[in-house]
Amino acid sequence: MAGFTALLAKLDRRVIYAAVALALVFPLVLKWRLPPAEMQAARKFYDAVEALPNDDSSMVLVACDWGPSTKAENEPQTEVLIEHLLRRRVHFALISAIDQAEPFLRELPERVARRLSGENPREKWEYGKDWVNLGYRPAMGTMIQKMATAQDIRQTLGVDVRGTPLNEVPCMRNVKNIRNVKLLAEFTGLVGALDSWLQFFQTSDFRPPMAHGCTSITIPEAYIYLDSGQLVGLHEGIAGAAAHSALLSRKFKDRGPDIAIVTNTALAVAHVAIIFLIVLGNLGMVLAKRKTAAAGSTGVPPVSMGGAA
Amino acid sequence: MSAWPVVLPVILGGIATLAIYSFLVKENPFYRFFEHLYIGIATGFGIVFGVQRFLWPEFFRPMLGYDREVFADGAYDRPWRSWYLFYLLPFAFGMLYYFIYSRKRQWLSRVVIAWSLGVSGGFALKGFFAQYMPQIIGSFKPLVAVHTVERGLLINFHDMAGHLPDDAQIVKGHIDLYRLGPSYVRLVIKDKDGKLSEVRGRVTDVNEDPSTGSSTLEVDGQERVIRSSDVVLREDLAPPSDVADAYEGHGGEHQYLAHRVLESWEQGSVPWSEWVVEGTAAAAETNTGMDLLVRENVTVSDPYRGEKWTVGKRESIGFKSCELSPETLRSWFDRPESEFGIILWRNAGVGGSFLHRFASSKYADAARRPKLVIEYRVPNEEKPKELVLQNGLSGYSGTEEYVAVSDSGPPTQPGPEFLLGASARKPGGGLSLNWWSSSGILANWIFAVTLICVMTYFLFSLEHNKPGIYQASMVGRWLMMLCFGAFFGSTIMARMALLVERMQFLIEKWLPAIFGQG
Repeated sequence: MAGFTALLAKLDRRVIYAAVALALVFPLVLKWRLPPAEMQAARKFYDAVEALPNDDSSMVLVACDWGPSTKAENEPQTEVLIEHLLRRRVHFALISAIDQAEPFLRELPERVARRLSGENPREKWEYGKDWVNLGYRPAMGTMIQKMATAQDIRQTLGVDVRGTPLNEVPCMRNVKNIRNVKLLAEFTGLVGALDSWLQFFQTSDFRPPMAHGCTSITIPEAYIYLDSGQLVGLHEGIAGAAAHSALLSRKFKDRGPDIAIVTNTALAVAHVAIIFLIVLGNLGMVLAKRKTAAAGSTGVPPVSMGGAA
Repeated sequence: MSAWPVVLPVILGGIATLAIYSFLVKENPFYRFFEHLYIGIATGFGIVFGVQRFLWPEFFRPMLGYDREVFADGAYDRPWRSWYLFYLLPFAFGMLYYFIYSRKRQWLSRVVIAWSLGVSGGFALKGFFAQYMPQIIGSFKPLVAVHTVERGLLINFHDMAGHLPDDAQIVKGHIDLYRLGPSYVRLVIKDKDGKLSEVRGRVTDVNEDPSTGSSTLEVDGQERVIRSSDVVLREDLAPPSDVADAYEGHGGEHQYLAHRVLESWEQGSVPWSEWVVEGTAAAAETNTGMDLLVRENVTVSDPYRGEKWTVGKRESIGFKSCELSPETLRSWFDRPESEFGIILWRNAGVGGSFLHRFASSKYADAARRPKLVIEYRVPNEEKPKELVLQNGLSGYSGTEEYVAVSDSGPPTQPGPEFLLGASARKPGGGLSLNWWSSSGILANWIFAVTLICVMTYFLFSLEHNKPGIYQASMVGRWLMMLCFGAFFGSTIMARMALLVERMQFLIEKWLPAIFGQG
């Protein structure tokens, strides 16, 4: 026991890093898929998308205010939404106030469209008809207000990322102003991005329903907006995306596992590993304390905690 | 060789990932190089996109006239005007910022900074109210299960006795309520600032959200979310001429109860919960010791998606019918002084929904107003007759129907369902199953206790060693620690997600690329 206590006390932190990394490798290599937990907030998100009309005058605005730093969580969230919208043939526009999101705005819908076309060779999803990429738009607060108050949102934004005037983009033909935005879906891990949309994407008499995908860090902050009704749905980190993905799989039986399920499985394993290590660490601490107490009564010097993780 | 443009970024990405994670082993030049590289690339991105997406399209292009249309012959749709150079004014103003590097002219930069701060302050003020007012309003939550009557339909029978011959023998009767389908609705909405506005449109879907009671309606071709608390009755509004139906309240899953009202509404002391008897409608009818007249449970998850109503035998188009026994009807006519009408009441706490999709007396189309249909026989006549009591139709001039809002006053208050926790009382008097939900009483108590205790902890003008204050601040500290624990857990989850994504990249893309299998 004394040896075990000493080992725990002197355990190098790098051993713990390696253990966590190893724990992650297994589900990824073995392609292990755990069914995600059902999440009420993600269910609401799913329901909000299900309720969307798919006519020509309706549009979902997908604000991808994320970059490589939060890609791990925001990408699967955005991807599952895009897939849902494409499957339902609901038109959507991608926009970002973060310059580093630009490559993802282009790549993500194309990737999903390719996957869906692979699943349904008879169907086709095309840029312009099903979605439009509005690209990176600087000056977040001003840009959002401009969009919200625009008489004609197409004129205000001018062109899409390819330089095509928005009036000529098929899916934007009947989209005039904020009232045509049936859902605003905002994905971010940045402080202030959600706030800006909440604050400014509305007029005096209209506010489109808003759903949000946040990183795990900001879940507690996002809940308050869900509770107050300012959000109609929420993807809580990767778990939220996985829950939405599971609902999609329930509806579309032939659908393969997507990135959200895979990542969520690995994340679950990582959590188990971390909880195990926390328990182990605390066990070591308790044993060391006991030993110290025992040493105090016998005059034996206590075990040093130096080097403990 | 053609694969290299695809493979090379993957290989470099893998190396960069390993380089950044090498920090976990220890600080090293490999890590530092890639850290700087990342920052450099991010800055480069910012500069390029700043020019490409802002400076060029918003400044240089219009100033130089490049936004003009060019015809096939090379002519422009309009000539370049010298006043386009006015674009230089805001540009020059912004450039004053760079005087921050000049000791002598540094004050010039402060002008721009002051301008920016002013604009930001204005934005912040505007944004604050838009963002936080709903939070503040939502913080006022009841700590007890408020005893309320939800919006329902009341038909008074004070003076209906005269419409039935004294010797009439009642055969049967039913109340018909026009069920609102996905048709046009008329709502009076109270905005966040209390402004009333009329909204008309077609119901396309209902967002079942017990915590907010919000519904998504298509209004004039546009969808909007309307909270139940925003829907108010407006007596002074004239009935719309072009809208056939109306709509009161919100919800998704329905469970309705029709009750006989035995006390005046004005008294405000009607113990509503005592009216409910568990069991079928038939059982309720036989339970003569109770005030319950009819009890019909209707459960429809979404009437717009094809589910049928299960109440009543008259499943006619658009109408929902509640059957009434002849004895009950007879009693209405024999003792009108003790009858104060019928209330159609949603069974509180069931399904967490707030929608009453029934037409009421407010509707322009009289044919769709609720009606009481009584089939009776007169001794000397062979054929049974039918008495239809409906506001707006001949034969009934009695007290018109009301939409009941509360048991204590005229229908001018917003629906009580918006008081979170209000629906937590079961008809039998106990708490319903959703009392612990985010909109339930327990959550409200936790919220209130946390608020008071944490505020006490931070109220340093009070000495924390005093009895009561000490305990409250200790509880506040513990509750804060619990919250911080949740935050910390979330932070770990986010970091781990990043690691998982990178591991995924290394295993599924980088390694195959390295070994030529990509």
